Amino acid sequence: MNDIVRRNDPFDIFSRFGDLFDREPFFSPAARTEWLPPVDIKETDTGYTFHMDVPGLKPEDLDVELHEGVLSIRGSRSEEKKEEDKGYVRTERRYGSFSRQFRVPTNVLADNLKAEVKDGVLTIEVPKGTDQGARKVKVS
Amino acid sequence: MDTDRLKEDFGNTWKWLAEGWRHISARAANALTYFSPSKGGEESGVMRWGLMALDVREAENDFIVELEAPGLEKDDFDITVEDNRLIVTGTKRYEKERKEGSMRITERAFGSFQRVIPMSERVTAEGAEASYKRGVLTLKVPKAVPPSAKKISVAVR
Repeated sequence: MNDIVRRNDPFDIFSRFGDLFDREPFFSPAARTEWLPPVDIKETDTGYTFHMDVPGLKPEDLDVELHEGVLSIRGSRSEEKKEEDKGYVRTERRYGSFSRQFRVPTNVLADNLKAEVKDGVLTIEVPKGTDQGARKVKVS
Repeated sequence: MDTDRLKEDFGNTWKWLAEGWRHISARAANALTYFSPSKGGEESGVMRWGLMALDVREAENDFIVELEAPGLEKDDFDITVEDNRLIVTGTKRYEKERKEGSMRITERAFGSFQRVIPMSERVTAEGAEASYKRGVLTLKVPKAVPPSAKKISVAVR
């Protein structure tokens, strides 16, 4: 599980714009999404920490689920703001939904899964353990 | 031949890069921002390029800018109003999230950034407002009042 390449080059950004990279074991091809928020994943002795940039999203816009060793993160930004004739002269922000899945390499303690969003950053703590099952966690 | 294979691989790589660029330019070329290492920052090996997308709305008397800048604090921003552009500089700090452990995936960019936002009209810092919520910086910047156009009637003799 240590063959996950640490990528630092600017071209890495391409990976967020389609299924151009296949980065198993963490990554499984994402479903078509309108935007792909960038993520950092850190492994410690006790678990995995995910940090994902999700500017503008509220806790209720996010859905975090761990099922059979796959952590799914879904979110959506409402499009209503983007109606025309509201005077937008420049629009770079992406609206709509995203979905990213990550294979968590070891069994984890799904019961202790923690997720919170602050200042547009979603933090998920996945503790290592032996228990494995389906869990859905509320984002606080 | 090996060279043919090489050419083919190169061609594929090029196509693949071109496709990446096409996606970027189609979506948010302007949002692509360079993050330079911040002073004394323990952030070697982090991403240097990130997307800082923004929307600009024009109202009658002002412009409203919404800039995506997750993971910062209010004090991390420095905003300057200059004739017909806004300059937002800031630092996304890595230290905050530093903990023991090894990085498996690093996609998020850290460091100091600057975004220059051109406005279609002159703007003024007077009465400008800024707020930071859920990782989005919102700026409300009034349009500069033009020197009042005086109507001078010229009598025709």
